[in-house]
Formats: sequence, C-alpha cells, structure tokens
Amino acid sequence: MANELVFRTCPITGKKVYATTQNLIWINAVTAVVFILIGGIMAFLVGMTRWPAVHLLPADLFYRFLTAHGLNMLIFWIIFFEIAGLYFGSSVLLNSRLAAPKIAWLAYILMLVGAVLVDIMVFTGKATVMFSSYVPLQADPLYYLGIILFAVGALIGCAIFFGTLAVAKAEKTYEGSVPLVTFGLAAAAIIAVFTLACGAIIFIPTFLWSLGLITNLDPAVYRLIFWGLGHASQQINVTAMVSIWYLLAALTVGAKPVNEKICRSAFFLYILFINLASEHHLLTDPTLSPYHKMANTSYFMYLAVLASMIHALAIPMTVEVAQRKKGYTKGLFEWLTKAPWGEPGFSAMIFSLFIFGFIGGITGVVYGTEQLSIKSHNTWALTGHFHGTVVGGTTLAFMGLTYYVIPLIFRRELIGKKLAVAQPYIFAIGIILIALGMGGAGTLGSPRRHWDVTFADAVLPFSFDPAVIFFTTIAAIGVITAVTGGLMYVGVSVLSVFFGRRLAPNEAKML
Amino acid sequence: MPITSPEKYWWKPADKEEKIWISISLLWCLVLTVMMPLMHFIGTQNPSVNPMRIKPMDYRTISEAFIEKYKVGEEKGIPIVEPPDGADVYLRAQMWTWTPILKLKKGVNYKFHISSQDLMHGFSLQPLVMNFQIVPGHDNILNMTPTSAGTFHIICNEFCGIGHHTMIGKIIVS
Amino acid sequence: MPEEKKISAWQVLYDDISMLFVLGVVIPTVLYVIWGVMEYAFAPTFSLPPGPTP
Repeated sequence: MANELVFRTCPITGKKVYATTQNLIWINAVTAVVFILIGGIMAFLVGMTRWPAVHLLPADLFYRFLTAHGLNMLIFWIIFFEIAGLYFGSSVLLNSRLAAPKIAWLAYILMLVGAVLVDIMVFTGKATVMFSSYVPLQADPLYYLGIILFAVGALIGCAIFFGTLAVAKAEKTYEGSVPLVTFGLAAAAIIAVFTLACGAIIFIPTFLWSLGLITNLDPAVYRLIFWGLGHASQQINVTAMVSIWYLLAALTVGAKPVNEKICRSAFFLYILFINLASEHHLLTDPTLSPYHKMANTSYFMYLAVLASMIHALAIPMTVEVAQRKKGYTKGLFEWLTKAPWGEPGFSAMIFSLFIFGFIGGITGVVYGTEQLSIKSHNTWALTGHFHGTVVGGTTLAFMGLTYYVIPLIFRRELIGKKLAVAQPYIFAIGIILIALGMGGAGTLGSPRRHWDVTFADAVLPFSFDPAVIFFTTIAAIGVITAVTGGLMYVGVSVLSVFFGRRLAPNEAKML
Repeated sequence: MPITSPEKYWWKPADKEEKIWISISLLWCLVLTVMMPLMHFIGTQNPSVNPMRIKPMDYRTISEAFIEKYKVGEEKGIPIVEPPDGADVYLRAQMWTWTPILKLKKGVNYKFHISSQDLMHGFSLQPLVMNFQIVPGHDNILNMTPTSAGTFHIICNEFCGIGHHTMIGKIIVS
Repeated sequence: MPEEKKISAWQVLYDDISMLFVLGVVIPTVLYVIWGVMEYAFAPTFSLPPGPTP
C-alpha cells in the first residue's frame, strides 16, 4: 500500500498530486471508459434496430440491450467518471491528501460489484425493465441489489469528497475560498447526495417487493421517487459538466472567471432548485395535483434556468477576455476565430456548451411545461432532448477533459493525437444528427423504447407519417457517426493510458 | 484561475454587461413563471386535475359494464362501443390492447377514465400526438372533446413487455 | 494599519459547504418528495357502490 502522504508536484499547475489520489482517479476513470464501451456497442445495436431499413435485432434482444444501454451510459459511465472528478476536484485542486483512501477503495469495489451484478442480470434477460424499472414490471432481486450496492458506493465516494474538503480546510492547504471548479463540484456532490438518497428510499422497498416481502408498492409513488434518482442524477451531470467547462477553458486558453460572485451564485441556484426538475417526468400522470406539478417543474420560478443562462454568458465571456488579453482584439470575433480549435479540450468544451444549451437545454425547458408535456411525453423527442444534454453536453465535456487527465494526472503521452483532435468534431456532428432526428420523429409521434415503428405485427393496422422514417434515418446516420467518434475516444484513451510514453517527472507537456 | 483559490474579497459588483444579461434572463424566467399557471387556468388543454385512485379489479368491473351496455360491434375480437353524448368513457389498457374501440361524436364532451390492469402504459393519440401516463391503481380522468372527424389511433409509448410495439387502439369520430 | 474589510455575508454563506448541503437536500426533499408523497397518500379512492354493477 502506497504511503498516503507521497506526492509529486505537477510541472504545469504546481498542484500536489498524491499517489493515493492518482491511483483512485485512474481506476475510476478507466472503469468509466470500459462502461462507455459497453454502452456504445449497445447504442449501435439499438440504433440500427430502430432504423426500419436495417431492423437488426429481434424484439427481446432489442429491449434487453436498450436497458443495458441506458444503465451503462447514464449511470455507470457517468458516475464512475464523476467520482474520479470529485477526487480530482477535492484532493488535487486543494493540494490536499485524500480523506480515507481505503474507504474510497471500498466505495469503488461496491460500485463495481453493483454495476457488474446489474449487467449480468440485464444481459441474461432477467431484468428487461428499462432504465426506469417501473413497478409493477419486475426484475430479478439481484438487479435491485446491484443498483443499491452501486448507489451506496457512490454515496461513500461523495462522503470522501466532503471529507477531503474538511481535511484540506483543517490542514490549511488553501487560503480563503475553494477554487471555482471545486465549488462547482461541491454543488454536484450535494445534488448527488439527494439523488442517491432517493435511490436508496425507493430501491430498498423495491428489492424487498421483488423478494415478496412487501406487496403494496404504489406504482405512482415509485415513479415520483424513482425520478428523484433518475432525473436528478442528470442534474449531477449538468453541474459537473459546467465545472468542467470552467476547467477546460482554463487549461486550453488560460481563462479566468470574470466575476466569481456571478459564477458561484449560478451554482448556488443549482444547489437550491435544480433537483425539482424531476417533476418533468410526472406532468401527465394521474392523481398528482397541478400545484405540485407547476411549482416543481418550473424549478421554482425558473431560477435554475436563470443559473444556466448565467453560465451561458460567463463561460464564453471568460474565453473572450482571456483571448483579448493575448492580443486577439481585431473586430468582434477574432478572439473566437483565433481560438485553439485544434485542441480537443477547447473544441469539446465549445460543442458541449452549444449542444447542451441550444439542443438539450431549450427542449428541456419547453417539454418541461405542464401543457407542452402532453405533446412530448414519452415520445422520441424526449430521447432527443436528453441525448443533447447527457451525451452532447456531459459526455462530450468528459471526453475533452480525458485528453488532459492522461498527461497531467496519469503522466502518459497521448497516442493518436490527430484522432483526438478530430474526435470531438465527429462525435458532436453525430449527436446533433441523433438529437435532431429523434426530435423530428418524436414531434410527429414516434414513441421512445419501441422495437417497430412500422407496426408490422400490430392487431389493428396503423402507420406513421412517412416523415417519421426520414427523421429516423437521420438519427441512424447520427448513431453511426457518434459511435465512430465514441470508438475513437475509447481507442485513444485506452491506448494512451496503457501504452503511452511515460512523461519524465518535470516534463511540462499537455498535448 | 478557476483551479486556484480566488482573492480574499471576491464578492464584487457585476459589470454592466453582466447586469444587462442577467436582468433580461430573469425577466424571461418571470414571464415563463406567469405563463404556465395562466395557461393552466385560461387554456383548454391540460393534464388531469382530478385525483382518484381505483383498484385494478374495480376498474375492470366498471369498464366491462360500460362495454356491455354500449357495445355496437366487434373488430378482430376487440369490442366497438358507442357511448351516448356526454357519457363517462372507460378506456382500459392491458398487455397489449386498448379496450374498447370507441365511436364518438364531433363536438361532444366526454369524460375519459383511463387506467391500467397490469403495468405502466403510455396513452399516445395519433396523429395528434397527445400523450398521457397510464398508471395501474390510478384513474387518469380527462375531459376530451373531439374537434375533427376521422379515425384516430392510440399507440402505447411506455415499455410494457415484449409485445409493447403491437399495442394499438382506435377512436372513430363522426 | 488599514482596517480589515468585512467579508460579505453571501461570501461567508457560499464558503460554508455544510450549510449549502443542508439547503440543497432539504428544499427538494420538502417540495418534491414529501409534498408529492402526501398528495398520493391523501388521494381519494374510488369504491364500487354495493349491489349489482351499474
């Protein structure tokens, strides 16, 4: 076991990187990449089945792999990466040792065992229940146990983060306030605690119900609390992603927040109100009152939307200010045209910001109104919305960050830099096509989670407007493009992590 | 830098540009905040406002009585029902049918009761694309007035098992 | 020696992660979870009238 106090000093940022922290970031990030690979293969198979021209899988495998796609991407890939991010944001950015690294390893093992258990259940066909596993559709008890183990592990990971903040404060490894990126990640961790607590509240009784120990589990109450986990976990992503935008802006153009007050206030509004948006799933449900729906779905008077609007100004502004300081002052936009578009961290950040805001964010606010939800609930347009936020936004930002984590934290030189430079472009184009294709088909009525939109086997004949097939084809082309970009990401990061040239201790090299 | 601690006193007034942007955004948030409740009270297209739980067995009894009383025919084993003007209409979702097929009149208001016998289902009226979550144990009560004649289909857009994609219902408006 | 400037109360609040934690957990728990569960718990249940069905 490495000594908890062994550290090196980063030649670029001057930060202390403790060996224990480095190992934990490594294992969590590498595991995340394994899960995005599984999820990506599933994405390809599912996408090719939705496309009537190919219609690849039989119905049972389609629903099984769709369940696997959702869980591996939305939960396993993202949360493993976020836990790595939390250890980075607390220990590395605050120059502090990590609190209780042995318990952090325990958290990792719990998460891994949970994830593997869930995947075994799903792939063997014992839990074809979709990401949402709505009661009374029942899975094998081990599936629910897997989710619980994973959630407990992630909760311990959050506790390690807060513990490290306390250690850093007590040992005075920083002065004054924590850095903005750490503050943003703290907001993400707070949101995560509510999320994972909802998971525990609902999955423990569901586990008992699957064992037959509880009989009256109300499906509507399950939906309410499940989305406290299911949607709020995406709010962790939003908040972590915005923090990473600030980080990437700093690493690629040396951007500095223009006004700390403004940026931190936006994160503060996220902490207070963003989790209320779980209501978006319940707007067309029976029994729940319009007052509950309107108060929650508006994120309390749209104040969490205001927060996103603030970040949407603050981040491009930091980039512009940093670029103008470097002398790119000609005209209105020289700062943007002369930006480092060849750096994957920069292009990933800009595309992530653009896709998240203009495709994911706007559709989210529109579909999240009581009346318009009637037009979009459970249609493929919803799927388009969250591919814009979680994939085009969060995943792309995480991908961009990976290209800097490899040299800075893992001390390896990237293999395939040209692929890394092209990767954000290809992935972003793929996701834009997916989101637009799904949005178009969904607006015309195409449902989500559906094996055959031609209704060949239906009892009563029915067919959609032919434009649905056109939009589905656009989405399918997007799937092929995005999966290509995803494979490039997995290839570059795995090869670099395992076979990249080791950087010398004082080698100040980023890309 | 966002990766280092800020200066000691960072709570400083915002610049003019920031203030303008935040004011516009806040104003827009307030417009949205007013619009949704406003449309709820003056608009005519809202989700259910009547809370009601109903046991799946009780719902089955009522919907069977409804079908028996107003049945006018059958298509592929699914009963066709023509309820009188303004009647309570029961539409039952179960794996993997919408029962019965309904014959309604244009311009007449009906009180729909939609519920499920088994799993979650998704009521999705085509080609209008109006969607409601159908939850077992709860009655999704909706006042609906058909405004155009023709044949409408109901697909299921919530995963309900292996036959989910075959689940289709029909409403004929004359 | 110049007098120490006072740190803004908002800055003190934002530096107090445990306070933010309490706010961030309590607000959605009350507004979303507890309020929602109460509505389901107190919703009326339809009961069939006794005797033959209508």
